[in-house]
This record gives sequence, structure tokens and C-alpha cells, in this order.
Amino acid sequence: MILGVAATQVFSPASLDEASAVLTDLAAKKRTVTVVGGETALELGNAPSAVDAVVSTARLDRIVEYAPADQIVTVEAGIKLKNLQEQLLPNRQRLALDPPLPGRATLGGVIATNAYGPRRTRYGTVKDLIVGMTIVRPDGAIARGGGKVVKNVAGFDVPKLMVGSLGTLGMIATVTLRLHPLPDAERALLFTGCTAAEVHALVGDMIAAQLEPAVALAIGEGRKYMLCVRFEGFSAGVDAQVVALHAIAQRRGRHAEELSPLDWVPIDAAHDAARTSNALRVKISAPPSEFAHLHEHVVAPLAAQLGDARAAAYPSAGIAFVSGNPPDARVTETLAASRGLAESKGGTLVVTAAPAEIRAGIDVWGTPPAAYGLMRALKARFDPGRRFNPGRFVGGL
Amino acid sequence: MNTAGRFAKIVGRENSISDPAELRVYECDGLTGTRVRPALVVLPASTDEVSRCVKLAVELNMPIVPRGSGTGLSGGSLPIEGAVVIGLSRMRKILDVDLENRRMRVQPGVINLDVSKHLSPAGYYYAPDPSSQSVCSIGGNVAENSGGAHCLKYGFTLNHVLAVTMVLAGGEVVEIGSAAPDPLGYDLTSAVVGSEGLLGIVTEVVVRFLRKPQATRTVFATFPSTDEAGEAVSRIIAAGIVPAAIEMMDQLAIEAIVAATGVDWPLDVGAALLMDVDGITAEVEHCAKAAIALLRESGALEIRDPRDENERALMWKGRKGAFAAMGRISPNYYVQDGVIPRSEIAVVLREIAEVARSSGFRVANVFHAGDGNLHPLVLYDERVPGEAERAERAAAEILRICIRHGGSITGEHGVGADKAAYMGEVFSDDDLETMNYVRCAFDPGRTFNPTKVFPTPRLCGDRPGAYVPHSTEHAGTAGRG
Repeated sequence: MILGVAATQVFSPASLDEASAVLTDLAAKKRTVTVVGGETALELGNAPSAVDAVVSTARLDRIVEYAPADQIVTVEAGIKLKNLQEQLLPNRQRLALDPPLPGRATLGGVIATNAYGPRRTRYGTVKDLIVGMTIVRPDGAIARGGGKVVKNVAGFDVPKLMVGSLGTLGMIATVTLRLHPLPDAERALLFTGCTAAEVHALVGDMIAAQLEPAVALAIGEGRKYMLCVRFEGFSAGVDAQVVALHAIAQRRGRHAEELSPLDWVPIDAAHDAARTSNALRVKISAPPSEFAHLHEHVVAPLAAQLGDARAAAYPSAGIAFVSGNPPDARVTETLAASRGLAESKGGTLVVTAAPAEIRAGIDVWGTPPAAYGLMRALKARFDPGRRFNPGRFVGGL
Repeated sequence: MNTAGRFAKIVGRENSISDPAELRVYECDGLTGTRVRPALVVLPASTDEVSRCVKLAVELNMPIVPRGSGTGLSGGSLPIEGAVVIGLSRMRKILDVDLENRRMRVQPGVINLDVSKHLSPAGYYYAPDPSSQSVCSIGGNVAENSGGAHCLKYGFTLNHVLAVTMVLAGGEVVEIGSAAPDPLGYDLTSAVVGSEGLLGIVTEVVVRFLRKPQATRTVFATFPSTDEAGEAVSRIIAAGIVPAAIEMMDQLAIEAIVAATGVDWPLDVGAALLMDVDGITAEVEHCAKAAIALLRESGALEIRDPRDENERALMWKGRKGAFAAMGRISPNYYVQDGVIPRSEIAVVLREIAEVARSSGFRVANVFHAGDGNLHPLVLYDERVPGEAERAERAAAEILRICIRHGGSITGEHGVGADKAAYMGEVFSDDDLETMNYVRCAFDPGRTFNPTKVFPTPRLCGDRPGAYVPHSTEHAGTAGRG
């Protein structure tokens, strides 16, 4: 069942060739297809106009090749993120990506939805980690792009086009990723009771002081935020940054409390709640300079209308998440107004999950971008029969 | 009115070049061994002029070859017979700097190094630093997805470009990407960066820039051979250190650099490493100390710390001037740009040495060791009949070694005209067809750079995506001369 649309067939290919055979057959029969991974983002997007077949990557969950000395791993798309990280651990390496629900989320799904977590602050998104990819096209053909070396400009970057494409261009089958060393040391500081403006100022101070936090995460607490800052690296650098951040705090007349690893658990839980719990979930993006403005005119008014409202933000990246339970469909008007504001700043407001009555009143994605014509042309080339997640993506792509 | 006259009406007479003598400058780019005279070169000054030139070229059925500073090493700006070259060198304004959000909008002709120079007083810099950064343009960097020594830690142009303004084949102007994070829809910016001028002409670029690190330390070390130097690189990476850059030069490269730049590097060594670590001061000190210990353990002969910023700059000037320095030891050289898994550097260098022995050419190696991006330089003398062709064959053999070791045919110079023939050796027909989908979505009429990147001509077909071979198509209008 994808957003209320029931599929009649489910396939779980166990190899690349099987996946190709399945999709070739579905192409011949002109069947509509939705590819699923860990099913953590099934609520994302508009309801597809039809889903004849679900193709699951559940049995494509192996590590194909792992070269620790090259810090490169090739995995099948169905491998769970947590499982992958555990297998990298003995070599003190990791994929520098921390989206919620790592025990369920698959790499293929992470790529298709461009999922990320607070470490985006330092490490960027999955696009910055993809080195190569093999996809199965809607016509069933197997196509590879990139390679297994980090530096490579041979040919058009089809792999990176798959990032965030929500299964509308084909099936992600295997992916080659760049790994990072596990940091030797990690320390975290917490500021509580910050206004949005104070969060913004503290983040600005850190940049000015040339600090390099791995995470700058703001968690909503009423109309204020707590700001959690984590540093990673060798202990000399981590310790120096902790000292520097205390000095920044002092200049701002604030106190930063050091968190023990146990203290991180509730903070991670609060972050995940804003991202994955409740019936209505929203992601807002805007230039980081707009953080306080967006808090006042978007995040706060929206949260005020929701039961069990939660908010989390990556202030240096310009990303905020709000979730809650809407008492009725009237929140749709607030969403529309908030979106108008975010879009006027060059940003977006995406409804990542919502009850049907709210979906009925608003496009979950927002105004299609200026390059929408090119996107339609691209979709028409990859999927001329409009069979892969038809209508689910931006502007009905 | 003749063709040149019609373009001159758009860009002005002095910016529409059709005089054969003046066209000579534009007959090649950094791939200097190959020259083709275009029909015309135009130098527009605005997005609107670019758009009008594109429309006119399409009306006249002329292929378009975009050109930045002309420093590309794969012939991406190599003219095509009968084509109009659209040069972006007059579009060199910095349009907007947003310090708070660390992004800026520039025209494509802006020189890479000028971006960092502009930002430097405020304490920021633009990370991608190709060795040609003092002359290459941001537009060219976007076309080639340029790297540079420091992309080991900071990534390539793709990781630093947020949005572009692009003129498409119909002359329409479209905004792709966004200065804000996570723009909606497909990530077309990723398609445009590295597309080698096949999708359209970029007329504005939004780049993100970085705060300067607290500290940078440079270490120079020499070794008996490239084996020990390669081992040192592996150990440093295995220790969890992420150097900002780690570059290797072999004996022949050192000889050329010393002759050209006057750096006082020893000549009686087999290899040298030049490494930067940057970031938080305390972390940099820790990493430099740890790296120096690993260099020693790996058999370094001598380890140098530059005494001051001047000496540091001189060391990097030596490295960045390495290609040009070859002129001191050879009349001509052919640059290769293969990539291999980092752990195989020592093995591959021995195989390259074997190619040098069997072909009779000297091969200098200067490369980005941290990411396995080799730049073997095959030294030859074009005055000797047949030598250029034989040198190219030796370079081809080197590329095939990289392919056999699971690497790539190009790490940063691009496919262009030079490597198109190899694409079929690393990619299947389905792989190439899929890449062609991207091109056809942007430029179904194949107006832009039509003979580049793809090994055999591919049309876009009536049915989206279908490959329709065309009997009149012929690849590679260019010869080497």
C-alpha cells in the first residue's frame, strides 16, 4: 500500500540480474511500479496515480565489496544503514550520514529520498558521498555510472541525479560510497533556553571563530530552543573547540553545559521525534540567515496549531523540521501561508507526512521550480511510459 | 549580411571574430596537440547576448562550442568545423556576495583564484583549486567539475556549486538549483556540473565558499622511490588523518620543477610528497606530528617544514607549475589523467615505468596521491616524425592500466575530445545510452559540443531515449597535428 494505493504484486529480487528481469517483464506488461526499501518514507510525496507492482530491495542487502584501505564500500541498495555501519566498525570507519531510523532505512531509500541527519552540518548529504551506482532503468536495462574511485569525471553523473528522485527514474540497485574514519574523540555542549536569534548568533560566532562542529542541532522547547553542538576528531582539536565554545558562550553571557554520551540519547530522541513521529510532518529549507525570521513566522505559528508539536533544526544548513498532530484540516491554511513565506526567501516547505484530509487541500511539495520543464523532459527520457511512481514527485513527475 | 555580421549585431563587431589570423588563438584549448579552426568566435557580454547568439547559431544550423579560459586539457573547448565558439571571457563580474550565508553569484568568466582573492579580506575562500586556478574560469570549472589538490578533503566543484543560470538550445534562460538548501525536484545541478559543455551555456554560477581554517601546515618529504612514498600515503590515511592535500612527484617531475621554479628540492631522490593538513590549530599540530612520524616510519629521507608562508607558497607554486615545468626537460609532453584505487599506487607506478621502458619515452609522474588521481606526463619531441603518435599510444597504454586496476579514465580533466574513444572501454552501451538521456533532456538537437564525450554519435530520436544511429554521422572531426 503506497499512500492509499494498493499494489497487486510484490517482487523481491535477490540479485541485480533478477531485478533487471523483473523490471524488464513489468515494462513489457506496461505495469506501474513503486520501488521500496526500508519503508521509512512511504508517506513522502503525493499519492501515485497507480501502483501495479511493488519491487522491494529487501533481499538485496549485501556488501558487494569493501576496500578499507581505499575507504570505499559497494553495497546493494537494500542494506540497512545500521547494518552497514556495524560492518565498517572493525576498521574504525563509517558512512558519515546519520538519518533517523538507521535500523530500518536502506541505503537505496536514503539516496532516493535524500535522507540525512544532524551531521549534515559538517559532512553534507549523501550526494557528497556517492562515488558510483548501478541502476535498473524502467525498461529493465542495467546502467552504471561513476565508478569505485573517489575522483572521477568520466561521463554524466547519473548517480547523483538519482539522489532525491524518489524512485521516479528507476531502481537504485547497488551503490559505491566514500567512507570516513571514525573520529577518535567526540564531545558535546548544550545551550538551553535560547531564542531563535540567539541560536543564529551562536552559530555565527562559531563560524567566525573558525570552529568546525560536526553537529549544530537546535531542538524546540516551547517557543525557545536548546542548541546541541558536537565536535568530532582527534582529542586535541575537539578539546580546543570545546574551550573556544565556552569562551563564545561567556562573551554572550550564556552557559554551555557539557553532555555525557548518556545525555545525547534524549536529544537524539527529540530530534527523531520531530522528524518521524506524529501525523503531520514538515520540512522547511531557507538560507541560514533567515533562521530567526522563519522561526517567528513559520515554525512557531505552525507548532502552536499542533498537538504534541516538535521542532528540530540545523541552523547552519538552513533546515528545520516540525511535526505534530493537527486537530483538524484548518492547519492547511497555515501551511500554505508558511510555504509562501519560505518560498519568498528562496526556500521550500515540504509536507513529508500528512493525514488524507490535509493532503486534499495542499500539494505536499510546493511550487514547482523554474527548471521544471527540464525535469519533465528528463523523466520522459528515463521513464517514457510514466510507470515509476507516476505523479508522486514534485509537480506530478 | 554574412554570418559574422549577424553575430556582430548581437555582440558588437570587435567581439565577433572571423579573421583567420585572429581565429588561430581559438583553434585549441589546453589540449594543444589538436587544432581545428572554427567558423567564428563570439564573445558575448551578458546572458541575453548569449541567448541571442545561441538562437542565431541554431537558426544557422551551426554547432556551438562553449569556451571559458581555454585551459581545459581534454579538448572540451576544441572547436568543431563549422562551429561557432561562444567564449565567456568577457563575462567576468562578481555579481553578489552573501557573506552571512557564505555564497556568491558570479559570471562564468570570473577566474577561479579571483573568487578566493575577493573573499580573502573577509576571511573566506573558495575550495576547488585546480592547478590552473590563476587562469581558469569558474564556468570552465563547472563544465569540467574541476578538482585540484585540495579536493581530497573538500570535494570537487560539484560539492561547491549550488545553482546556475543556463542558456538552453532554444535560447531560453533557466535557473537550475537554488542558493537555499534542498531545492525541489531532480538535482539538475549535479547533471550540469561536469557536463563538459554538452547541455547548454552557464551564464551565472552560485557557489558556496568556506571560512578559512584556523591553521594550515605543509610538510615536504623525500623518499628513495615511489614505493615508500606510496606506502607513506596509505599509512597516513589509515591512521584516520584526512589531509587537505597530499601530492606526489617522482624523480623526473622533481627535476623539471627544480629547473623551472628554482625550488631547492634535492635531485637525488626517487619521489617527494607535499602534504597540507588544515583545520583547528590543535588538531593540525596533532595531525602534522603524527603524519611526520608515519613519513619517517615509511622510509622518508628528509622531511621539511616550510619556515614561513613564503616558503610554503613556493613549495605549492612548484607543485602547481609542474606541467608547465616539463618544458624545461622536454620539447613536448602528453598529460594523462587516470585514477586508480589509492592502495594500488605503488603497483601501478611500476607498471607505468614498464610502459616507459618498453616505449622508450620518459614518463614523469606528478599527481594527487590522496585520491589516486595520476598525472603521468609522457615526454616526447614532435619534431621527430611519428613520435607524437607513439607518445599518445604510450599514454593510452597507461590509461588502460588504470582501467584494469578498477579506476577511471579521467579524474578531473574531463573526457572531451581526447578521451571519448575510451568511454566504450569503461561503460557499456546501456550506461552510455542512459547518460545520453540526460543530454537529450537538455539538448535534443545536439547543438552544444556535439562530437564530445560520447564515443559514437548518439542522436536523441523521436521516441524519448531511443538511440537512432545516423549514417551521415561521423565522430571526431579533429586530427592531431
